[in-house]
Amino acid sequence: MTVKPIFRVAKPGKSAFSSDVRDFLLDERYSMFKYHLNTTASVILNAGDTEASSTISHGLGYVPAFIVYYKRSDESVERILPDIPYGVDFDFYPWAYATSSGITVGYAYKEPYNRIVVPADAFYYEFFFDGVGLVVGNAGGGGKSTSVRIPSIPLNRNETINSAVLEFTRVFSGPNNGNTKYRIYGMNQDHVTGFDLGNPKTSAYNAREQSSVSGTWNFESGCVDQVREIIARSGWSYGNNMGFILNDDGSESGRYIGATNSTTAKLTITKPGSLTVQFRVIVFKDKIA
Amino acid sequence: MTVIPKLKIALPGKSAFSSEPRDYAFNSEYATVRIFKEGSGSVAVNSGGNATVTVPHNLGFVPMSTVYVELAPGRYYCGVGLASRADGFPGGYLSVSPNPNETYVDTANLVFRINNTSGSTRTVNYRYYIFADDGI
Repeated sequence: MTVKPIFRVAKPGKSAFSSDVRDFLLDERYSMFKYHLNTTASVILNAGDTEASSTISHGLGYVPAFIVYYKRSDESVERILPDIPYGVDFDFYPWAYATSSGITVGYAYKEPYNRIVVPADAFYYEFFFDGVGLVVGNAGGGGKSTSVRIPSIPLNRNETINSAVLEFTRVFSGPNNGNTKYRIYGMNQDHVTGFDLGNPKTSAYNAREQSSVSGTWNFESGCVDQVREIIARSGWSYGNNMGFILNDDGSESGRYIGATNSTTAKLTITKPGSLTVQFRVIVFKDKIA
Repeated sequence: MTVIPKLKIALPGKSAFSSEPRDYAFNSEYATVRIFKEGSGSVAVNSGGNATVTVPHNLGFVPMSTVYVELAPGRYYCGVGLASRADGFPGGYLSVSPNPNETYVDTANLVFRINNTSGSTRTVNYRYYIFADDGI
């Protein structure tokens, strides 16, 4: 008869002959993860970034098992990866992977960090081509203008912002080669509801010239001073509507920016600040691949 | 006087009488996480589709477990999750579903689902660990 020795350490109060695997501190039948490395890493996302990552080397030459914890600089808790929400959009999340040379940890944002994008919900076009509006420029015998409303702006009064850009998508240039001249104003109001081209204007404006572009393109115009002036108003509140007016500024005939049936507009605001994410990485000697 | 035996293995340079739990390779005063079952495999996942992997353990209780999945060539991500932007998010990518009806462990099985929006059929490698300890 062959006797095969077994090495086990039962938990206090448990039998060494128990059939329940949970009753043992140590059991030669079941291996344990072997500790290899315990270290930290951190990444920084600046305004406008969508991802930041860092890699630590483990020197094992194969892909090891690992565990990662992380902590955002704007939170007080440590979390273990994975930390993926269910039932909501993946707006931001941590990630980590192992290769044969290192562990890479990172943090991703679906949209750029500290960047807000708010779509327009209403337009006022002074001029139409076959039912489609003209954004700004000279057509139909003279300069034509447009105004647009951006609803529910998520900015507090006097909140610091780095930049603001108003963008019209899928526009086209007029038939005559040359610059469209225009001025972009904000609507100097606490909260824009009804609007046309007669709404009061901000003192801040930008006078610009847009060259002709072939095909369909996206038209951007910076407006940070206008946004700052509006949110500095005593009556401004978080979530109020904001409006902008684009006035033709002496464009020559046939120089204009026209909308298409699929043209949309949005306001993109970038706030200052950065996010630091600290990671603790625990690497085991156990081989995954 | 009752004597309670203890088994301790101190780490190199540390004392077997230390009160710091981190000074031990093994200490019978602290439970360990033992690997009950481990294994590797691969599964083909069509673009736009998914594949479910079921690993039986039949422990009769819900154990701790973890899965590493190769969401990009040579890159094994841990557990439920998404790849980095470099590996496809938010465009086409592989992922392990966070839906609790699709990725879970119960008293009999470890189940996880791999989703593929990468634009091509992928053969996905994985490794799993089921531990001999309660997960809940």
